[in-house]
Order: sequence, then structure tokens, then C-alpha cells
Amino acid sequence: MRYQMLISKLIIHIIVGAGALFMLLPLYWMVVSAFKPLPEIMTVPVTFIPVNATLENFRGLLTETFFARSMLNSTVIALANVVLQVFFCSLAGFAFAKYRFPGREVLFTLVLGTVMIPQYVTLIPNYIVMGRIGWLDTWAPLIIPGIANAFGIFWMRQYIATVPDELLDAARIDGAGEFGTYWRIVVPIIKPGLVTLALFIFSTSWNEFLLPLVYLRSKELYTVQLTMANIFRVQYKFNYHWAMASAILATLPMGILFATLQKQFISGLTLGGLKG
Amino acid sequence: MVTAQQHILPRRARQYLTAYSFLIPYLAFYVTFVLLPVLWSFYLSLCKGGLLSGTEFIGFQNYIKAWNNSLFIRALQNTAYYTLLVVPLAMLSSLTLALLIDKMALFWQNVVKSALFLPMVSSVVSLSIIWKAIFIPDRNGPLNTLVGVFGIPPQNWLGNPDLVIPSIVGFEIWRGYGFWVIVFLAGLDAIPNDLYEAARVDGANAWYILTRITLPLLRPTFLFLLVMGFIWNFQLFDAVYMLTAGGPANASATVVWYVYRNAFHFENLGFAATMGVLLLFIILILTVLQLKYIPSEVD
Repeated sequence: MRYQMLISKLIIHIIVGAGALFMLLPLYWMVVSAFKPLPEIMTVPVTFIPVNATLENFRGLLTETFFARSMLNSTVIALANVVLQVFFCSLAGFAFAKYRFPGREVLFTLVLGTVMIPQYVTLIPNYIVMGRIGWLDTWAPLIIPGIANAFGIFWMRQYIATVPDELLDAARIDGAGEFGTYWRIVVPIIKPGLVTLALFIFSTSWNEFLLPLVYLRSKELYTVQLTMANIFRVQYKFNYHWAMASAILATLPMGILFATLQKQFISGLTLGGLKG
Repeated sequence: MVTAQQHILPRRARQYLTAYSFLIPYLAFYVTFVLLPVLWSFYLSLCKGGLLSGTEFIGFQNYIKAWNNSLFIRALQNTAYYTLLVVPLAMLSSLTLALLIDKMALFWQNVVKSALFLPMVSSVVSLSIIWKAIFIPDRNGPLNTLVGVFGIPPQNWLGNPDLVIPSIVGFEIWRGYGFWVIVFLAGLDAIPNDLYEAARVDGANAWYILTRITLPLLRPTFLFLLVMGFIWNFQLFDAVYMLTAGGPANASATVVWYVYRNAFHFENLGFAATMGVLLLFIILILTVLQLKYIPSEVD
């Protein structure tokens, strides 16, 4: 019986291990392809170790395209998104969690109800508005509308609800003022929640494709995703060699960020997932 | 009494004022960029024209046009076909893996989670680039080499109208797999251990535990993944843009792809809004039906 258990356990481990390796194969393919010259990616029988390993793809990518500039652009846009959304969502979440006022339930339900509204429904009217106020081909449409993040409100309200009221009252008695209470008492306590939210906002912004595709025209304003897509299919000639290198470099910041903050990421994913 | 009232009222009013002042910045953006655009989208769906030509009210003509538009119907069918493949397949395969690794040591769980983690945080654009290369129709393409091992002749994965949607389905399942598995693991985690122990004491076998305890208690997780799976997959766009551009001959065109083409390439803002509104209602109705008729209660 013991022996049988051990065997079946071993088999399960082998199946799962093989499955995990199989899942990783495409990523491995990305890494090796980034070091191959273009013809080797396209036509030669599959090689799992580059025959003519080269750094030429990275050199070409960084010097002959807008890629490096796009990495910087995406960083700036993502950081702006993080700062604005975290600030406005936590402030409004604080009001929803800790104040009683007429219309609280109605407003909260209204905001949450739109969590499910797909992006493309608001995109067309927003596109018209951006056109009228001259914001096409700027970063503003990639930053400003995102402040109305319904998930952020939900997330922050749940998190701030756990802050004990006594702490807030104590701060008020000390004369902190309402905004002072938020800034000096609430914000430090909910820091883990803020970090999780910031992580999600950053990655959403970094990986966003449809918005920059619709709004940006000038190559020097492109985000990293847009540049990548653009490098990939220049006049239907697929530049796999540069594209693979760009896929690595574009994923690297996300990988590092999520690996360092893995605990927040998993907790946020499951909590946001199961309660949302 | 009177003095107490006078004291309380201004304080309460002050509280209201503070709350509103914290809310108003957010609500201003919310009204401007979400609420009004949604309403405006409904109005636009009753108009014809575009950004340059201006819009003109035409009533329900766009809706009739959509109903008679073979491309829109085709896109709707593609979207449904695609969703009906992704959701059950992803659910079944991720549940299997979650059940297998749930009993494993934490170390192995973490190894698997790490393997699933990179696709989850990467963008659709970068992952599409990899898979476009994997799908290369050449005899020496990676996927063709792999299926060749099993004696299957080389396929034009993205160029064959019958294969293109299943190919994208494979890509999307791979891409979302980590998320599905982690949600199932969280669902399994939430099942109290004493239930299992009690069943074991009663001499229940593994099959009985799975079908009478684990699966019924996972109902809320199933329902969540079903609803979200439908909402997300009905909006498939990025992968289509990157992998096939709707081709070959619209065989992989989805509704959002067609909305995008109409709005930003053909200048048919009104018609695009109509299709967007129709898709929104389809998603809404499906979600309500799922929530209403699929039991999430654990009995």
C-alpha cells in the first residue's frame, strides 16, 4: 500500500513537472530566438540552442528602432497612472468606508456596476471628446480617463474598512483634521493594499494595447506595446528577430516587479478575483 | 434638547461635506469618462457618420443594418465559438492541475506557480509574437515539428479557416492558464480540512471525496470563472490583431475586432457604437442568466 502510494505520487509529480515544462516551452523559445539571426528563426529545423548565437538583435533593436524611447514612455505613463489612481481611489474609498452620507449606497452601487462595462463601449465617445479638445496623439487619454477606476474604489473601500475607527477618532481628537487623518493615519496603515493596487495599475498600464493603438500617431510617443507590435509587422514583413528581443526586454520589468512583490500579487489576485 | 440638536446638526453636515469633498474628484472623472460616454454610446448607436463627417440621428437603422450584416453575424458566431471552446477547456484543464498540485508539498506548488507566472504578467503583444513564430506554417516551424513527431502533416495553423480559431484558443488558454489555476487553488484552500477528515474517518474513497465534497464546494469558484471567462473572452481583440488581423477571409474576426475596424478605419462611428452596445447587452444577458440559473450556493 505504502509502495503503491509512493509510485502514484511519483507519477503525479512527473506529469505535473512535464506539464510545467511544456507550459514554459514558448518562453524558452522566445529567449533562444532572441539570440538567433532571423533566417535561423524562420526556416532552419528547430534548434533549441542557437547555432550562431548573437547579440545583434538587441543591438539593432536598441539603436535602429524607437524601442528604448518607448520603454521610457511606458514607464512615465504607468507611473502617472499609479500615482493618480492610487490617490483618488484611496481618497474616495476612504469616504465610502468611513463616512455616512446621503446617497452612499447608491453611488457605490453605481460605480461598481460599471466595473463590467467593457473598454470599447466608452472608447468611441471618449475618442470623439479627445479629438474635440485636441488630446489626440498625446498621453493624456492614456492617463486621465483611467482615474475612474471602479475596481480601485472597491479594493480600497474593503481595505480601509478594516482600519479601526478608534484610531481615526483619536487622530481627530488630536486635531489632525479630516484630510490629515487620511494622509497621516489611514495611508500608512493601508500601505500593503496600496502596493497591491499600484502593482495592478502599473501592469495594466504597461500591457495596455488598444488605447495607445487608437490614440497615438507619433512614433516618439509610442508605448512599448505599440512599438513592439509595430516592429513586428512592418508592412507584413515579420521581424521576428527584433520582436523576440523586444518581447524579452518588455517583459523583464513586469517579471522583476511581480517576482519581488509576489505575495501582494497572489493575495490581490485571489481576493480581487473571488470577491469581485 | 434644542442646544443638543444645534450641536449635532452642523457636525453631521460637516461630515457630509468632508465625505463629498473626498468623493468629488473621483466622481468628476467617473462621470466624464465612464458614465456620460456609456450614455453617449447608446445615443451614437442611433446615429450615422464619423469624426470628420459629423453624426446624424437615424433611429434604429443601425440595428437593422447590424442584423442584416453578414460580417457582423460572422464575427458574433466566431466570438461565440471561440468562447465556448476556451471556457470549458480552460476550466477542465486548470481544475485538473489544481487538484493534482493541491496535495503536493508547498515547494512543488511554488515551482508550478512560477512556471505559470510569466505568461500571466506578460502582455498579449509579446506573447503573440512568440506564438506567431511557433505557428509558422513552414514544415520546420516549431509546432509543425512537434506534431510531426506524432505523424501529423504540417498545418497552416493561422492561415486555414478551420484551424485559425482553435489555434487562437490554444494560445489564449495557455496565456490565461496561471490565473485559472490560482483561482482554483484559492477555492480549494477555502474548503475546511475537517470535512475531508470526517469523510476519511467514514471510510470514503478518493472518488467519493472528489465528487461529493470537493467539486460541490467549488461551486462559487466555478461560477466566478464561468462569468469572468465569458465576459473576457467575448471581448477578444489583442490576440486577433496581432496573430491574424481577422483573417483569413474574416475567419477569426471577433466582434470587438469588427467594432475597432469600423470605428477607427472605416469612420463608421455610429455603426461601431451599435455593435458595441449589442455586444454589451449580449454579455449582460449571459451574465444575468448564469448568475440566476447556475446555483452558487453550497448545499
